[in-house]
Amino acid sequence: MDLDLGVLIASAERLETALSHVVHPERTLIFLMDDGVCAQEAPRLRALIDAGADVTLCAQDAEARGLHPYDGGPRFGSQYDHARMMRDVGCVVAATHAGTTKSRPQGPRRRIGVTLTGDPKEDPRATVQALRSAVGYLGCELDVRIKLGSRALGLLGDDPPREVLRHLATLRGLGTKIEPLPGAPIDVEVIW
Amino acid sequence: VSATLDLTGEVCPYTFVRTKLRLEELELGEELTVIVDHAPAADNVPRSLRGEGHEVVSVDQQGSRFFIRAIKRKSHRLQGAT
Repeated sequence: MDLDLGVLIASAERLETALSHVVHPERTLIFLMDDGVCAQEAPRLRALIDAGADVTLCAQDAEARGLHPYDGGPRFGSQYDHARMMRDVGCVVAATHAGTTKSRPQGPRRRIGVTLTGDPKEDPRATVQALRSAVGYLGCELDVRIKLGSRALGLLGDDPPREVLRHLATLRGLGTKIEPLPGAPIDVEVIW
Repeated sequence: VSATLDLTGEVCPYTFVRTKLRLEELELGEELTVIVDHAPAADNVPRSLRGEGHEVVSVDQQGSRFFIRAIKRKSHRLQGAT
């Protein structure tokens, strides 16, 4: 089955906007994470599941919010499902609190840009979510670039938040470039 | 030949990433037993293994721990890993 579209929803507020891109549900993967998991019972999402969309959410994020699976609802999965989606689909829509992007990667080895826009000390949650998803991308052998907006440059300093240390160490240990914007060219962009 | 990877206390994405890194060290046909205690990982690690072309032999629960036995069937190399 050709997969036309992958939709990452990391913000429940952006659910409708993100799902407006779905044309062929049966050829669409959808992954919910961060507070996007709170939309797991949204009628529009349920309708897409009924129409054949493959919908998965981050079980860890759901667990943290006290959410449980329900009959006919999204599969409780992992960042592996997220990374596989980024690897396999023809077009990616990524909706987070920071914005929505749409990317059509070309070529056999796609480069994923994870852009951080916020101050990691003021908003460590978004930074943690961005970096853990990037670690997952590495697990699917994707070429990952971490790009830092001006407010996120503190990640390059000597005192990043404790919550992100492991993710940073893992990314660096696996050879991921962490650099100020604009950085190297990418094929898929996710803005956090 | 059999190897063991104890991932008790570990959560996603490190459950599947560390599993994959450990598999890189094995030869095709060798067996890896992964131990997890985060319940979602008991479903998700086997699914990721199958999705990446490996064989999952069994998943057994003992108390709060899950023992996932898999056989390496495909070679991978994570970006930048040496």
